[in-house]
Amino acid sequence: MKKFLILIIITLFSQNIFADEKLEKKAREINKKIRCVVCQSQSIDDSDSLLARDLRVLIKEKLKEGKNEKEITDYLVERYGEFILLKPRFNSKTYFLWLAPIIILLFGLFLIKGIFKKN
Amino acid sequence: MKYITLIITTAFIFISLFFGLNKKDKTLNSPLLNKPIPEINLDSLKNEKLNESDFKKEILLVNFFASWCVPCIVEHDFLFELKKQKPIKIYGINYKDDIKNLEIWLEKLGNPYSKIGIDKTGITGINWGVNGIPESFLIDKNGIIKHKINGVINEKEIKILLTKIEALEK
Repeated sequence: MKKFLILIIITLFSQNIFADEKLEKKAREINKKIRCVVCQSQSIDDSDSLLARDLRVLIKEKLKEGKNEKEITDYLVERYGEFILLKPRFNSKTYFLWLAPIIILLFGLFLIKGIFKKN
Repeated sequence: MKYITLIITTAFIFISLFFGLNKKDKTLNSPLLNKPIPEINLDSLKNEKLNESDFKKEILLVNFFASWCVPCIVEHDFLFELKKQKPIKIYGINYKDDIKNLEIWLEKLGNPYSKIGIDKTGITGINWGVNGIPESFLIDKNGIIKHKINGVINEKEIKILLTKIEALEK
């Protein structure tokens, strides 16, 4: 009976540890995608700033509340703008950012083609 | 003649990059502009509350500050100056501070705030999209954020604020 109880306690305890590890892993995954708005070129996962620390705590809390990645990033974008994402999403505000390299490349190719044709 | 298009295009790209990257104002507009104030429910310094119900019927300024923040000392005098020129309510949000230090700070420098909310965890700061302190928000009579100041309120910012307040009063 004693052994059985110990086994149950160990099982419950290890489940908790695994759940915590999973949550920690997910939190770090999100942290790596969020820009530290104070240091700007770092993610909050790499930054030691006060705000980055607070954001890391907040992300973990939100995950514990059962929020998913999209809900958390939406919450942050609503407050800090798309800028807070190290990889901005493709939408009506950022389409030019994503399409500009392709447009410039195509323009360059046409230009080069035109010059060669004339030659 | 055949290279003129190429030269003009290259020059255009370089000029755009030069002016784009040399922009003095590198701060981005807050996405909270023209939106209702974010959630706020704080204990205030005098054992009261600072919440959404305090943001109705009048134009006011919300100022995030702390006693450990050196630029906030510079800003403090300008807050008094603003109140002198336009007697509006200023709510202070004390960001991640020590209450004892805050009380000493206010005793030493004076208190321009109508109410001070205590944001011990910094969550209210994040809710308001604060990057660093001091930061201030001008709120209209309907509780809508109309202007955000990133950094110290100085003489120049007071002028801008007065113009904005005047426009909101009309």
